[in-house]
Formats: sequence, C-alpha cells, structure tokens
Amino acid sequence: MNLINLSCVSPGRVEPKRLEIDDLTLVRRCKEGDRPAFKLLVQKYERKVYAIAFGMVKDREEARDIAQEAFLKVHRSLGTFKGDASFSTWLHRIVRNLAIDKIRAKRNESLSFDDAVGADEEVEPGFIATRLGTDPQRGALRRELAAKLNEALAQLPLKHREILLLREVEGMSYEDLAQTLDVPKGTVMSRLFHARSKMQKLLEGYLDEDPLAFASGGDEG
Amino acid sequence: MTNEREEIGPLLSAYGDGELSPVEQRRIEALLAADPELAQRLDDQLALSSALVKSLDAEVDEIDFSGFADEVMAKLPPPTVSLASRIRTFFENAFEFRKLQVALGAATVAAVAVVTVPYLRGDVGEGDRIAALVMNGQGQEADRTASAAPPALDPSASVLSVETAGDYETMLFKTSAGTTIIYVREVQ
Repeated sequence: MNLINLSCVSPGRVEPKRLEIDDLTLVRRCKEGDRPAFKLLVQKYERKVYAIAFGMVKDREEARDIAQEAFLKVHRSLGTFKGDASFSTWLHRIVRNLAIDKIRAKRNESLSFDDAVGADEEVEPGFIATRLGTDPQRGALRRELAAKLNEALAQLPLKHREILLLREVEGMSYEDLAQTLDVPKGTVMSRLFHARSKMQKLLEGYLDEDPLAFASGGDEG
Repeated sequence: MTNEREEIGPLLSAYGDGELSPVEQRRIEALLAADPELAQRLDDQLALSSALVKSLDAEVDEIDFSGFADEVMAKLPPPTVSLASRIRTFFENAFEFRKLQVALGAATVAAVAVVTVPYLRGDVGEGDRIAALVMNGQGQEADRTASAAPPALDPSASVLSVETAGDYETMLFKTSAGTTIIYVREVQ
C-alpha cells in the first residue's frame, strides 16, 4: 500500500510521519466531499509540487501560483481520477502542464540551447563529483552553488528540465515518466542521459569560475 | 570506443537510477569494474542528482508553507451537496424530528403525572417549596412566585420538559398564548 510519508523534497531527508492514510483513501474521501481530506493532500504534496514548479519556471511567485492552481485543478478534476496511475503521478502531470503553459505564455524558452551547448561534448570524468562531492552525509549545499545549479537547470531545454525534475525531485520511475510525458520508455532513458550530460556541461562552466568557492562541495552545516 | 561509450551512456544513467534489467545491470557492473573512468562518470551522475535535489530542497526550505493549504482551501468552491445526499438528510432529519415528538410526548405524560397526581392525591405537603417563573411571549419575566403552594396550572399549558437535578425538579410549560412557565419544585 502506498502510505503517506510526509517527507520533504530530498529523498535523503526524512521528516516524522504525521499520518498513515494512503492517497487513494484520501482521494476517495475528497470525492465524497471531505474537505479536511483534501487539505491533507495539499499539505502532503505542497513542497514537492512547489519544487517542481520552481524548477520549471524559476520564479518563486509563479511557482507558488502554479502550485496553488495545480491543487485547485486537482480538486476540480477529482471526479476524473480513476486511479490507473498513482495520485502523485497524476498530480505532477498537472503541475508540469501548468508550468509548461506558463513558460509558453512568457515565451522565454531558450529554443537554441542545443546549438549553444554541445550535447555530445563530455565533461572530464569525475569533475562534477569532485566539485560537488558524493558524500551523502554532507550537509546543505552552499547558497551560491544552489543558485548555480538552479541557473543551469533553467538553461536546459524544457523537455530536459522537466524529465530531470520529475526524476530527481519526485523520484518517478521510468514507467511513470513514460506515462506522464507520453513517450516510450527508451526515450525516457535517452532523454534523461542527455539532460544529465547537458547539466554537467553547464555546471563545468560554472564550477570553473571559482574553484575555491565550491571546493568544500557543501560542507557547510 | 566513442560509439561504445555513446551506447553505454544511457545505460549508465539508467543504472544509476536502478532502472536496468538484471542482465543489463550485470553488464554495466562488469564494465564499471574494468573501467575507472566509467565509474567516475557514474559518480558524476550521482553527485549531480544529489546536488540538484539539495539545491531545490534549499529553495523550498526558504518558502513559508504555513498558510499555503489554507489559501488553497479558501479558493475552493463552496461544497455542493448532491440530490441523493439532500434526500437522505431530509429523511434523517424527519426521523430525528419524529423521535423528538415521541420524546416530548413521553415527557408530557410524565410531567402531567408528576404535577397532577400529587394534586389529586393531596400529596403536596407543607414542606414542599414551589417557585414559578412566568415568562411572556417575548421571553420577558412576567411574574415570579415562591410559596408552599403551587400556582394554578393553566389548563392550556403543555409540558416542554421535566428535569430533576439534585433535590429540585424543574418543569417547563408553555401556554397556548405563548407564555412560558417554569416551575421549580423541591422534592423530598
């Protein structure tokens, strides 16, 4: 059973469980008009929904608006949710679509990214790991490094940004990604690979700027 | 070698995600064991994943979500009650009302018995203290008495409730004119 674990965005960070009601039970209660049940769903997913929205649009206000609109849309569409996919997959598909609409409305998507950054160029192996550190015990990233990562993410083409976010933040399986993005599983695999390669390439440029600034790889805290 | 690496890239990425079949997994593990550079690439991927999650985590930590759910709830449309639910509620209420009528009827019989039987049998002794508070139709006090003898009972009065608390029995009557009479009788 898919139990609610009110954990935050990071899969490595675990917050105490506050309740043990699975999503489908909450959804069923919502459909019966149980508003507190809907509030529980909002509270459970607000952080992840915001994180995905922010990762897509890179603007706090817009991300908050998208998160709010996503939950309102979920509430309006609960009657159409059949439970074929998990609730979280359904929810994140709604968030992703709203974010894409917002981005398209702003028309600031960088369509020429592939020309600007060679997708096939490889970063020197181990460079990213050395700079960022691979020790999971290490604390929070430095603020400036987090900003660089967000900046790099913002420069990815939309299709790469969304797949990376859904995979890393939501932890979606390839199967769920294929369903959410409506692409074959093989495309998920290759798209994720290219998204990561481009991200590494961008970060290589950033991390080269001031090697000392990131030498600790986030030992702060 | 380049072609092989291009082929291995997506598989290595999927290996880091734990999405390979057992056969593919064994193949990548063999390659990783033989090629330190490939292992470094896997480290890069894991480092990037971890850093990306942490950076978004840091961003989310700066947002105050304390009122977020309430904001969403405030924007929800007012709850609509289905016709079936309204019909069910109507019958439930009707049933409750019927039960109330039955209860009031029983209370009336009990009250009449409590008040009239002692009268008829002349059981009200000298020690009984009876107070009556008479309220008019607007709920204002119209009269108040305290005596050893009960006031005359308005024949049109109907009993609304009879309660006993400690040594006192309280009876609430209502007349057809809308006057409310509260009797408080000390019981022995």
